[in-house]
Amino acid sequence: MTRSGSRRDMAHQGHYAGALSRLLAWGADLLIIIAVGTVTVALVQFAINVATPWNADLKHAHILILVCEFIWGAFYLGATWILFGRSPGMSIFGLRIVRSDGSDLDQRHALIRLFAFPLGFLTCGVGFLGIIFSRTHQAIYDRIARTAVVYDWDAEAARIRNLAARGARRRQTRVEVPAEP
Amino acid sequence: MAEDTPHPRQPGTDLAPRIARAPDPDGVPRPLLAATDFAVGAASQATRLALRVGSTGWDTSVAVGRLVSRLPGAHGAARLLDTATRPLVQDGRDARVRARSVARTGTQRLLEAVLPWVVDALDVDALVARIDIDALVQRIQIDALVQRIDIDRLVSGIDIDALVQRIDIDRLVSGIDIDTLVQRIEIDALVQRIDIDRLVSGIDIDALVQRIDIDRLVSGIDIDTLVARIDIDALVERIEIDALVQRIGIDQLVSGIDINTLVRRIEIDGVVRRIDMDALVRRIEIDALVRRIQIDEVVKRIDMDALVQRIDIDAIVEQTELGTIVARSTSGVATDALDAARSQTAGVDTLVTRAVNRVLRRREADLPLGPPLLTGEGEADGDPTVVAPAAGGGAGAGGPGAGSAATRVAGESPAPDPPVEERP
Repeated sequence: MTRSGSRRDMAHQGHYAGALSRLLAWGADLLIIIAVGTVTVALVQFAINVATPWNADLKHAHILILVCEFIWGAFYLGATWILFGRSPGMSIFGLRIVRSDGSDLDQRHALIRLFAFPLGFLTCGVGFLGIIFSRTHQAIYDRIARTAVVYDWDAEAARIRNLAARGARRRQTRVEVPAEP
Repeated sequence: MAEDTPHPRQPGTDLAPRIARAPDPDGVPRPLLAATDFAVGAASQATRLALRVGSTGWDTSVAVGRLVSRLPGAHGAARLLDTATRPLVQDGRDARVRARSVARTGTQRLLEAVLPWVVDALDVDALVARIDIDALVQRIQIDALVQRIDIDRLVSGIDIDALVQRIDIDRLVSGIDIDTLVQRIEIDALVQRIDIDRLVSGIDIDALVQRIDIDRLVSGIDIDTLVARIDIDALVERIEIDALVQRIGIDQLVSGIDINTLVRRIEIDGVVRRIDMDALVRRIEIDALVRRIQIDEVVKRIDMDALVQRIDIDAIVEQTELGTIVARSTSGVATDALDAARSQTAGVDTLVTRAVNRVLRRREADLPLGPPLLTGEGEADGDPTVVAPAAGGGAGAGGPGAGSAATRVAGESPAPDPPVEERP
């Protein structure tokens, strides 16, 4: 990362997040939800088979697993939005949910956003187009819940880390190439 | 008869002294005296009768004259009579004037002959005693009297030398009450009337000084008493310091001072204790002082290695934000990867947004960068507690608002570098 890149990242903070960042964040969250859900199902099946006289095979209970995954995903997103204002996938890509005016997300708006979130899928993806074409990069559930997603990561620390890394590399180069007598 | 009894004279009581009645002249017979009295009485009665007849005749003449003057032709007759009688009237008037002069001369002679006898006969003391001096003085008009006096003529007639010689100076002086006299003198008015310049110009200072016995004069002065009576404060206030300083020859004065001796006599500790260091420091113009310092020269003289060795790194890391920064900057490879991923995705987002705006023909300047409170538009709305935008203010995995840009308020430490507003 260059020095101008670090400064550009600092300037991005607080701006509306773009489509790619939000898509990758959603992908990360989805991976976490599926992974945790799968592991949980496997652990439950293993526990039933070991601890009980019954022999459970959850591979064919698609509806049940889907409902459980859906509930788990809702709990995952709702809890992280309410507690942290962002999901773990958003944290990875430096995003945060705020209210439309920029104030912190509260519980009420987080829940509204959570319940409106499926509209993006129920509209066959049309609800997500606002992220790309809207002036404020708001999806349909953002408009309903009056929320927005902004860049919000510790760009200052990133800049310092970048400077420290470059300084370390520069000092290391000086040690490896001794000055001519 | 009481008139026949001798009347003793009391001095100062009778205007004319009573003279003891002289006895009838010897040899004059009583019948002669009676005949004389008869003759005098008859003459008196005759005179009285004549005067009464004359008076009646005069009155009658006046009445007749008035009657005649009212008759027709009386006026012309009066003129004719006046013309005819004028020479006679003139002669009569001349005779009357001559007679008046003769009578006046005779009267004067008579008075000159009689008055000395009358004056000698008067008792002056009694006469003076009967005069009411106060009433007399009140009736005198002093102003008119003074105006009638010819002062110059009066003074010129006085022989001053003779007058002075007749004055007994010792007696006069001994009779003067000096204290009362001095108390009555108005010193201020007297001093104001003295022409000091004229008085001083008339004094021969040199002669006066030569006559003064300086030693005797100084020996008689009580220096302590004199100094004690001097009002030092008033004296100092009257001194014009500026004029005095200008007259001092500074170079000559300084050359005569033994600086070493002077410095040795100064009690440095006492002087330093009396200095108000706060007031002194307040009077120093720090900016002007700093401008005069050559920073480069100062920095060159600093031993940076020794300075760095004296820094307590542990205390700095423990007590300042530097420790937090250092801790955040030592997150390792995963953090570097995250920083790179975030930066790259944000960059791609910027490209996508620009492309969409170009397709939709939207001007980027018209688009909002972010929520108002995070991009500084909140300040314009009058919310002083919200400042924007949050450069580097993100919270890695904090709770909502923990370290978020929107919750930074005035008073918190700002970011090291101000945010650079770039269009993504």
